[in-house]
Amino acid sequence: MVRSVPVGIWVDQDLRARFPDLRAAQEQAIRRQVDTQAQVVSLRVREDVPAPALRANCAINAAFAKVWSVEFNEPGWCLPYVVDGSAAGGEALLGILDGFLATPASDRRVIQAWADHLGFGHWLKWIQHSP
Amino acid sequence: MNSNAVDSFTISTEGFDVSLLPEGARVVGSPEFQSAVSRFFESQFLEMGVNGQVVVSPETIRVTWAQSGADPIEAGIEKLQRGQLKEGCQWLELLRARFPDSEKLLQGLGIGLSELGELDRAIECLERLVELAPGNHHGRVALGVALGRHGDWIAAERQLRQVVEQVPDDVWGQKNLGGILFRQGRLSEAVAPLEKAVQLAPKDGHAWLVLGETLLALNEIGRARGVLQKARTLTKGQLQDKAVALLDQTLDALFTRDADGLRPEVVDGLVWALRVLAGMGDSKARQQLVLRAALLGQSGIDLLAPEPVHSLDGYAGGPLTGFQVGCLIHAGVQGLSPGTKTGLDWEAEYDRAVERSKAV
Repeated sequence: MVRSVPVGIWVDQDLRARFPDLRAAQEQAIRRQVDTQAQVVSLRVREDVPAPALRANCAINAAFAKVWSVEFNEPGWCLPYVVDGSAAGGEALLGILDGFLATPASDRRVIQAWADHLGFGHWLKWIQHSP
Repeated sequence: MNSNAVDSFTISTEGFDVSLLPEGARVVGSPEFQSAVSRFFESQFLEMGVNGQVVVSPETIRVTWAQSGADPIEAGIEKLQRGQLKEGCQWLELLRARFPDSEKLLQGLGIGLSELGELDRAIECLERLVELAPGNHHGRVALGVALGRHGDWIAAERQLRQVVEQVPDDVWGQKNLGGILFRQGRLSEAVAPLEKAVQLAPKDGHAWLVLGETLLALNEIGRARGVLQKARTLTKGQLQDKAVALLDQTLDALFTRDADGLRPEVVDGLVWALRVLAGMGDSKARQQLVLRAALLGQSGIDLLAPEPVHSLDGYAGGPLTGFQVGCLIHAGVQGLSPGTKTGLDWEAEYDRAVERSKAV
């Protein structure tokens, strides 16, 4: 998720700005994603996932929900994370995202910055792309 | 008519819209005026990509340009499409003397003037258009819109009805006919054309918004909420703000306000929720209940549905209505994180509910 969500947010925002005809379909997909991701905070999932991974996951999901709750005026999307205590973690990730220019050149650095913030930056290993 | 064959026109200096010129150059015929008019046309030539010349005397403006592939009418319409309404209208108006019967020019100019609020001139233009081309439905809808903006409801309705009778699939005609009927307070009659418009153009957020506003005015609260939620997701900016405000009004329509501006039913509901949460004792269990309610709310609950259809693990009192779930969400979230926006706009009622709960 740390690899796909920050860059995915930029891509979705770019799509939304440049292709108004796709907005309805995009919104449907985002609603589904917000809904699915929120299930992670349910008690059943909590019991099966190690706490550090769950904390990181919830913070990423909270960041995603926050971005789109503002865009679609759906404050309810953030509430599970407020109740769960991970909303602040999401805000922190969005603060990091805001510090980068939304360009492909920033992709790797923003992913690394999110991973570092979440405490598992050392898990990532970047390798040279070879076509 | 081939517009490329034309290479010049002459207008009187009095006919030029001086508001397009810098403030110091608006005295017609003055040297500053003559220079500014020249610069105006030179910039138009530059945009059109043609070589042109303008000769300004104190009485007349003569514009000449080399024949090329550039279409001068299209250049004016492109300005309108870019949002340069005044410049586009000025350009088309100047060309009108040379192309008095151009449908494209009359339609562009009429719509542009209507958007600028120059309604008399817009109506004259569009009436000429439909006289020349009775089958131009787009132009006829534009005429109906301009007449409606002018407050001439009867004439507006006549034009719009003519379009939807001849072309029932004309979305713009259906939407504007509904809008004209709504603005006259003929709410029941407005519903059918607006429903037809959203059926034809399901992504037209503005049409959904007008339909929702109409249903709300008809007091069809349940239907209005569904339609306005759709409008909210399909619009942005001011239109989205309006959809949100109308959604709030649907709640106001159900929950009347007291002398203090509060909704007593909401206060009662929140008092009930505070009691339920306080009665749980264990803070972990309380948090889990609020979390389950929030998850339920995230996928959408109908606050107005009267049936208790929602079951929440951890709540032993049986199925809950959407309104009760909303109360648990709002009270629970405020308890955990005071001041958090829940989207329910129940802040004042919550404060009163807390006061009442403490008093008990």
